[in-house]
Amino acid sequence: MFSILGMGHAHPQGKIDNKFLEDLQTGTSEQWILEKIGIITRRTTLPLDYIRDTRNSDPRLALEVASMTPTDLGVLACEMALEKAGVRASQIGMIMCNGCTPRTTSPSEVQGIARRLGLENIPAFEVFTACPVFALHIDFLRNYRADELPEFILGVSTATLTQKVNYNDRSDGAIWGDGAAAWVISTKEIGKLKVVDSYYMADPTRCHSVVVDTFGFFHQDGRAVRDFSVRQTVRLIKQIEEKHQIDWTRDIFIGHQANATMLSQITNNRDIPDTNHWQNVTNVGNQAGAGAPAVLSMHWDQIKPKQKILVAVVGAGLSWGSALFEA
Amino acid sequence: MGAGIKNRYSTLSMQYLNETGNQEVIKAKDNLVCSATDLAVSACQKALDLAEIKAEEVGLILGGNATPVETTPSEAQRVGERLGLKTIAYDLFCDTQNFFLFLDVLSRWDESRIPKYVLCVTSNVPTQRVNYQSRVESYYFGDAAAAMVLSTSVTGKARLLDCYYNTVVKSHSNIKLGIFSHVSLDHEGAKTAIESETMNLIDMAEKRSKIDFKQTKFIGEQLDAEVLNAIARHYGLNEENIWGNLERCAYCLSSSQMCVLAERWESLQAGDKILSVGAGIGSGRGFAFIEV
Repeated sequence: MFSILGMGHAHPQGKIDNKFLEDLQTGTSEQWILEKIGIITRRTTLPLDYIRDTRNSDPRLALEVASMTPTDLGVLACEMALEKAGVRASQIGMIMCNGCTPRTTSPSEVQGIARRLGLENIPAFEVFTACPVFALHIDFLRNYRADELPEFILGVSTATLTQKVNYNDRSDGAIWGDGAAAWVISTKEIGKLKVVDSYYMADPTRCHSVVVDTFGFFHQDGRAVRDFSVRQTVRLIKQIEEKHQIDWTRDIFIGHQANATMLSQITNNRDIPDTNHWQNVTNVGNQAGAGAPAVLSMHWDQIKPKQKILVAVVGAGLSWGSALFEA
Repeated sequence: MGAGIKNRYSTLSMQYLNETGNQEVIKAKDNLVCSATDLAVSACQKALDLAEIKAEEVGLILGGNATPVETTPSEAQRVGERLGLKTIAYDLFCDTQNFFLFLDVLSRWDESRIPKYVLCVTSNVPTQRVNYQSRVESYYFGDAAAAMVLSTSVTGKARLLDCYYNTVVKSHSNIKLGIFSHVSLDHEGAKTAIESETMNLIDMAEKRSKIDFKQTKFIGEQLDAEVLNAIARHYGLNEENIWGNLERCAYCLSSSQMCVLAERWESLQAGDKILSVGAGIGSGRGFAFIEV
């Protein structure tokens, strides 16, 4: 039996609002963004002047001007998760990371975060699938024999995807925000959320629908990914509804934080009221793998006893997954 | 430098290399004769052939690539795409010791949750990150991919007797692979670390399993032949039992050790025992003790 003892999140202070994007004169407008994507602001590590002046045409420069690194964000999220869990870093027996925008691959993102947290001599590795990583990490851990896992495990997802945006593109700039989320899981201690179920699957034949070039930019087949995401998320929710007793007047849904308009289509399809749909994409942007767990972290104190929380996420890979928790 | 490396394979176009020395890392990807994923797919196809299974029988792909040209999708997903597979695929990655990480993680899983066949692949193309005006890095690195098909329910040619993976996070890493920068290697620091850490792991392996050093084949970190020879002398290993490919292939990050085993695969004899140890470069370290 696994429990989540605590969660954390971190976002940079910089904000890109829709007026800023409209003023870049790439052909987008505040109205279009709100209708199609539903995002009002997104957080960024990039100075607005830099974006305005250069459109981030050379992503190498982004590394020089960014206010924070993905490691900085990851560490902050981890520290918050540890504090909320009441666990010291020295008690962590394993750390897994989903670093979508690493600055180095050796040392890898997880090693950079582990070093900053003072974690030594424990297994530290990337378990990586970009967007649906929260579901993957839960499902990955459930594969282990109970006695093979340490008492406390730290998972983290971090990305600074605004640094991978070409701000000459009218839609990509509207999507992305920077952020990190972390979770402390225990195999022995009962925490606020018990893991009830999990699932992860992929269709690699479509993996180039969403790409982040190491030396370049993000690009995607937006329409295909959007339609697939909505359909697949609905399927994931139905799978859980059929298997577990879900009451959408009590229980909570958290989707992949890619696009508020898509999330509305999903919640309308499943009759999930707004009060039971938690999200942060409207004000923070798409934070890739950190999105959904950051939502859970941001609402941590609102979780009620006996409530079930379903995280259903679809994204890059193409991959998708779900994790069901109960308070 | 006396490391014993005579050749190395590269995915770079020789014309590009000769003309530019790969001074600008971002230009490498446009001047390749093949990609890391090409190598990975080739390795996977060979592994599948030797395992006598079809790609569609694979239920899980685990990948790793320390030198990707795309940070998304993952290497496992790129390989899955090329193999035409709709299956669970994600990267399970540590910078330099993916072989041991794959084995260690899978060995800890509940067998009922492991698909019948698991495909593990690591592909690394560090020559795409080398500054060929650098005496050290241009000498040490080569490109390679390796793959293995694992099963917990089907008896294969070799079985895993023991394995180990851990990470020691240090303030100073003797290898650095930055996204936009050339690879850097503290080769003297690495040599010292490889020797001491490899011996620590061999001692650990020996405490856990009875190892006959006269008979056991040994695969060490493929960076420096002098270091490997020193280790061999310390344990009284017979020269013919020291398996390696650094002379032909140089150091290929995580791919090296799996490549050595793959190259020897068809010549493995029943009763052979192989101890593969990786340590000293980067933060990961591990070993695998295998019996044929």
